[in-house]
Amino acid sequence: MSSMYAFCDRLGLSFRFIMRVLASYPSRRVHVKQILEQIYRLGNETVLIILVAGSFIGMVITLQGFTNLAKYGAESEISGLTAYSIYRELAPVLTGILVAGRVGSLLAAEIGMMQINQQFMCLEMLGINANRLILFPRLLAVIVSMPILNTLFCLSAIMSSNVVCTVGLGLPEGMFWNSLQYQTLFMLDFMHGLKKSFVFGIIVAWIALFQGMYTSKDRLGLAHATTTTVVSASLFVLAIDYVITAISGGVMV
Amino acid sequence: MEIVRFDQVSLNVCGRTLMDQVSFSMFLGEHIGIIGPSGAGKSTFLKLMLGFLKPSKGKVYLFGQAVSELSDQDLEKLRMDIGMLFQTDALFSEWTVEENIAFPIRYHYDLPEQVTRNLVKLKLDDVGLRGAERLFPRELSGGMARRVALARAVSRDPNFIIYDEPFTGQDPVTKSHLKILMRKFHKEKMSSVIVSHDIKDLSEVVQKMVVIWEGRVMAFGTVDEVMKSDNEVVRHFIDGSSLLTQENSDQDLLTDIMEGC
Amino acid sequence: MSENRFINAGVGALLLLGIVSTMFIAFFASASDWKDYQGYNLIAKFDESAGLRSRAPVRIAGVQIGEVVSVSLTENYQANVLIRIDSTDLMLATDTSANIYTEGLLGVRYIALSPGFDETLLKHNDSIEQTSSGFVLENLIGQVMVQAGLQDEVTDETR
Repeated sequence: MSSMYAFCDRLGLSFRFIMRVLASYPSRRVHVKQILEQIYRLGNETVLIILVAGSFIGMVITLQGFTNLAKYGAESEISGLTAYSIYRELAPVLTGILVAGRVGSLLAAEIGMMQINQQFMCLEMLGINANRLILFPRLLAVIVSMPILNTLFCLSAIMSSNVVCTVGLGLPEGMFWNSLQYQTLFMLDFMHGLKKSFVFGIIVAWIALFQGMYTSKDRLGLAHATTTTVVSASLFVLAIDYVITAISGGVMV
Repeated sequence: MEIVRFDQVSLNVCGRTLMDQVSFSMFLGEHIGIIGPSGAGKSTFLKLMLGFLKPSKGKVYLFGQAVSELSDQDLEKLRMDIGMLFQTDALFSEWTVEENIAFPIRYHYDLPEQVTRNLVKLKLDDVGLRGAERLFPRELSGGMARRVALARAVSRDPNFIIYDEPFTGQDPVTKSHLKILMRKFHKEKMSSVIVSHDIKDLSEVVQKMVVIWEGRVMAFGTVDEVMKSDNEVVRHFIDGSSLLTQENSDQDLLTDIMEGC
Repeated sequence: MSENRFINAGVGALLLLGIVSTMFIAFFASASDWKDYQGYNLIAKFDESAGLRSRAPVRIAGVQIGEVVSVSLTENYQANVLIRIDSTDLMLATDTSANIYTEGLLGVRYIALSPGFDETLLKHNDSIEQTSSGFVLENLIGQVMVQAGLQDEVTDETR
């Protein structure tokens, strides 16, 4: 029971934490400068990973799907099928997990280190609002970057799928794009994935920042914070993905 | 003018008593050392004084105002008049030495860029680190980093400086350098509180001492008075014998507060 | 402050990349269901729709020009198929016929339209009169079996 109590307590603590951070919108030029810096650090520098992952996934799904569709004579729809899976599920989830790994661990470690180094207390003594200067910019950076990374993942997957289809499977270029344009809906499929990635961004940033801020100051505190961030964020992404998919299951045609 | 006053302050967290009816006062121009073994309550004392912790009983007064009743803005204003040197230096590793010192100034005041730069140069010169502006904290030795942190602490010429374990982990040369700097700054009509667990180092830079053990004040007086005290704990400390046991620990306190028991 | 400019440029580039990619996907890699399509609907009734589903392609000469919106049941127990032609520029004569074909042997059902020769054209929500039903595998097997049976009878008779 006491562990249940402790769990609820921590959950409540993290909720109040995120509310505090969300309310800390920038009020000075330095804050805005920080936001841009963080977007660069957390967004731009994750682009390469996302593009590479996207292209591999695109190729794999295409090849995998092709053999299945060939059984039913529906090979021409391969690009539509690939894109459908990518837009709706694979892009947001994989982007979420990759970002949880790279950005999540980075944030948890960085904030945890600052906490251990008494830098937050120092900022308070200097009359500088750490929520606005440090935490909010990072939260916003992740939230802004996630949808962009998701889109880049989709694009990368489609392009690599194109290469596989035209060069490897002998599909005519026109059929590739035709199926793509008919089988996937922008609003219903792509935007669905985009909205998911937005939610995942909030989850990853929340968990990472919270774990960092509340690192225990013992020998293993930082390591624990980092690993917990990556694991919890990844699992949460998968769980929320299930919830969103289940809820919107009835909506799709 | 009274700078700090503790009025029968007690702090109980998770069933543990971290501060037990401590009464204390300090006036402008005084330099007081706070001494005690690790985990005795020295950091707790500082946190209570600066409003990072709220007492369970009693009141803490800073510059004559009750700390727990202050609004966030007023507390911030009070804190900005205090310079603090942290145990870990608390320098920002992504910024240069110059940015570390200049940032609080740039944040709060709208000074011309050249004025700020000159101010930083002046302060670095004061601590004997002229020319270190472009270095990053990771490139500094322990003693240099500490002096940079000190430069930052005195950058706005505060009247009250707090040193949290400044001598811990430093070599004798750095320690003596720090002591020289402390005496230099203190000449200029400042008050200070130095937390340490080395009584010999402390006695060279303070006039009065407070000995804390298990959250209670064991002795309070001038250096001579404390050295001659016949309190058992104080004697242990001066002689350097190590048969003390501790029930409480600051580390656990922090974890408890973070995780709520 | 050159590193400042670099960061600004980097972030700007990221945002631009995001916008361009989104637009690319919107226009070239998915159906534009965010704008109201300028097409029109037609209705076709079939005796047997044989597994035709929504979003199935509607093709003329193998080229997709629309899709099936819905398949429902009429009072006379016929399949009422609502199809959407994507472009109002595509005009169809009133004697256009609609057939349900299958892609491959066991594949996706789709509607194939064969253009007619009438001068009058079909308008929004008009009905296509000439329809032929979908192919059901079981019927074919049944026919084959019946044929085989008749063959046996003929063979027996001629003996």
